[in-house]
Amino acid sequence: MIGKQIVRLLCVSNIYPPSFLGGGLKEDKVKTLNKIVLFFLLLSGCEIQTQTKPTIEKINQEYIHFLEWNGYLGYYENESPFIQFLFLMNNKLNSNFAEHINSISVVDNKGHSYAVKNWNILKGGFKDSYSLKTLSVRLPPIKEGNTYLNKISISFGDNKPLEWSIGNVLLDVQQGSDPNLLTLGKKTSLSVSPFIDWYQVELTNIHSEKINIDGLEVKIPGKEVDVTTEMYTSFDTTQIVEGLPELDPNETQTFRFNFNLKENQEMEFFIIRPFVIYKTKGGKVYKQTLGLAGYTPRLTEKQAKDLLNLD
Amino acid sequence: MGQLVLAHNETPSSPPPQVGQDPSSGPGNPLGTLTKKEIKKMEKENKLHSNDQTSGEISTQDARFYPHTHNFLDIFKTYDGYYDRGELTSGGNSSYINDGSLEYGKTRSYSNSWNVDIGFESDYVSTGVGYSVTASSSDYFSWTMTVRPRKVGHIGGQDWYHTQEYNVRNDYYDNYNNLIGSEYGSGWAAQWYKFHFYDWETDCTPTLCK
Repeated sequence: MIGKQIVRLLCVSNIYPPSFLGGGLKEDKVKTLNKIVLFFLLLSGCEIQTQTKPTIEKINQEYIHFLEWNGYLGYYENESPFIQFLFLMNNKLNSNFAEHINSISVVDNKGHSYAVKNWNILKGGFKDSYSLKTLSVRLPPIKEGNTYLNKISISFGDNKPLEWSIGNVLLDVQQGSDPNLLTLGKKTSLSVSPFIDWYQVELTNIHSEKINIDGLEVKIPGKEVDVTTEMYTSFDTTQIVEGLPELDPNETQTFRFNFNLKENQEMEFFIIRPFVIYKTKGGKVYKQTLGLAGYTPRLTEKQAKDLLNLD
Repeated sequence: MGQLVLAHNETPSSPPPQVGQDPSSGPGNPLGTLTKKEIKKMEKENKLHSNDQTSGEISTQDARFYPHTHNFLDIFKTYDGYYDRGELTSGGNSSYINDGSLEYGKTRSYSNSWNVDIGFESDYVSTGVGYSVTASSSDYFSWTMTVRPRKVGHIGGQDWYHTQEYNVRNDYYDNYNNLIGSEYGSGWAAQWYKFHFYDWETDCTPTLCK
């Protein structure tokens, strides 16, 4: 099976169009040459595929618009950060444009580029003149400290890479590793609403001592964020628990962290991966990463078209 | 004003959104919000409905066929609540080493909704609550969840609504435009304003992970 796959891979051949071979050969000679190539390939038992791979057109930068995140992503130094970007795409751009992507990197505010290890584009919503898609990328582990990611750079085919602004995402990489004294249950992953309001997570104490939940660490660049904590008996948040937010060993509760931002948040996009801060009986403080969550307003057709400069 | 007791069977067919706790609901563009101009226009169009039954004797039970007006009285309760749509997708990560990803992408329809326990019309509820209670829309939502090795990822969702409960009254008139009675009722209206995706992991089972 493996052998056959290798043979197939090696034997895949294009039947070259005359233009590919340059101006030195006349068209009838090219046809003859193709027939000869085809004959020998058939003799060798190879599968023939006539590929009509689309030409790599020059990608018009205006055809793509990344929605700009205000972001805070907490990671430990051994982790590979995972980020998702929402982007609008003019439908004039061929839908298979992603096939031409050679490489993607994310660029910080000092111009340092981080090559994306792997990426994926989700299909997304389709309107008459534009589409909304999601690009997810996995970065290599990044050294401890604060890194502000501002741009994404994509190279298509052999063309010069194009850059788009992605907003301002603070990658807060901390020393050490997740203490994992808590396990995560249900948690917020995407909120489609006009504002960043709350992050909700079910936490179970798997430590042998009582744990006091102190709050969240979430430092959105340029924003002053007050976080208040509420505790509920379950993820449906119908029954609030009065008193201190704490967990006995093996106890599970749902925590709602409410964000109170000082400024108006109209048409802003947020992405967070906060640390939950907690203390054990002896007063030792721990920070544990929670899941990635996005907060995006619902875009009207007019807003989307304006961002893409469509009429 | 006389109190006319009407027989009706229009009990609410669906419950209002579950009472949730969303303290920070505030600005934004929830679905179907009406401008002041639109509300005024709708109020202006609130006129006497002529009777639909033009001949024959009308019994008390059929009083709704008399000329009548619909009146939105007051909102007596407001809260933010949701309908939980449960699990939307799931998938297992068979790998023992690498994280996997669970993708969710789907066009989702969402709409405002309303209900009232007497015969009433949506436009009058809309003017009372300030948004079109019949507005609906749809959007494509997509997101990816990271799933740890040997875990099953699940993605669920909740539709959140600004919800109001209100009182209404229908006034009935005879053909000489004399008020012959009123009928009182109550109902609820819900304005969609947010979709909340949530995810969680469970352990692999032989059927969910190869």
